[in-house]
Amino acid sequence: MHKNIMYIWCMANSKLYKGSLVTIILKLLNESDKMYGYEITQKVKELTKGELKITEGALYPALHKLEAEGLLDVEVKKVDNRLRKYYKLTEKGNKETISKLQELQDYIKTMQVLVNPKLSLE
Amino acid sequence: MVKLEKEHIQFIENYLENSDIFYADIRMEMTDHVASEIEKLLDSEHTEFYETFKSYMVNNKSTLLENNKKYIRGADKSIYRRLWRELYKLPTLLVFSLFFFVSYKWLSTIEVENLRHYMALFPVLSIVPFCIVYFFALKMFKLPRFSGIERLAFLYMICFQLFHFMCAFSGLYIQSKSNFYIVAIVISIIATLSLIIIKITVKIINQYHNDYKYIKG
Repeated sequence: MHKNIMYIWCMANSKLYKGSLVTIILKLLNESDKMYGYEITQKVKELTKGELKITEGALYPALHKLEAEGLLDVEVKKVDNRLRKYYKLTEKGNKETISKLQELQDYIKTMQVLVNPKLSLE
Repeated sequence: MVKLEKEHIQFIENYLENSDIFYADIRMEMTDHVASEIEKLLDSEHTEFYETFKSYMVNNKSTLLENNKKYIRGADKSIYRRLWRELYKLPTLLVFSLFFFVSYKWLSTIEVENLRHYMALFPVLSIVPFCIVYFFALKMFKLPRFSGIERLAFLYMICFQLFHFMCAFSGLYIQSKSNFYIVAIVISIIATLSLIIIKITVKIINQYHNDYKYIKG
């Protein structure tokens, strides 16, 4: 599964990853207790070895949308002399993560059949 | 890891505020992001804060301002999405039906000429509860401007114009009591929409309260 996700992430500088942004965010939050915006961008950069960079312009509106939909919970805390907004998954968010990851896995399988039929038969 | 001093954070915040990033919630998140970036740069380049900040802004200011617009658009979209979702709920239909029943009954007790006077009052009456809730929202917070609350004012104004138009339009149909059902529909739409918007306002206020509960006091 992790390999599959990495495959999508590596399509750096491509519009293809745009549709997977929410899944990426949910997956990362699923793996840790809570995260803040900058931390998410750095984590993606680190995991993809700099291949994929999530811009603030895409990340924060996506986080706010997920929050409004009740998938994320928010905590504002004072850290290092400033206020920091942490995001964490709600119960609804946990369920959505499972479904989004399944959706992505199915999509990757389908794409693999189309792009590399030989590989998909193995 | 280098950590910025309080005055450096204040400097970043003031700079962003003077660059027209005037909503506190958006600025707060942006300040943290910029501060984190600068801390990382200070760590790797071993330069001085103001020098690093200046070069960071030369490269990123236009992106930050563009992002600010995106966040505001996001806040607007979120409000309209909430409104759309509320419109499709069963309780909304029930409230609408109740208002229709009550207003139709009320209309049957008054004269056509009197109704024309009442109609002019509906838009004004519908905006008053919004203004009260909005005023208390700002008073309760005692904090700077928040995007979610302030963008609601735009929705209030759209609704006010819509209600005004609906009343003026339906006024053309008030010739006899047989057309009063049109007026009843208009009253029901205005009352239901007003209630939904008040509900959304209260929800947004509660969401901000919940988000900021750890920094109170």
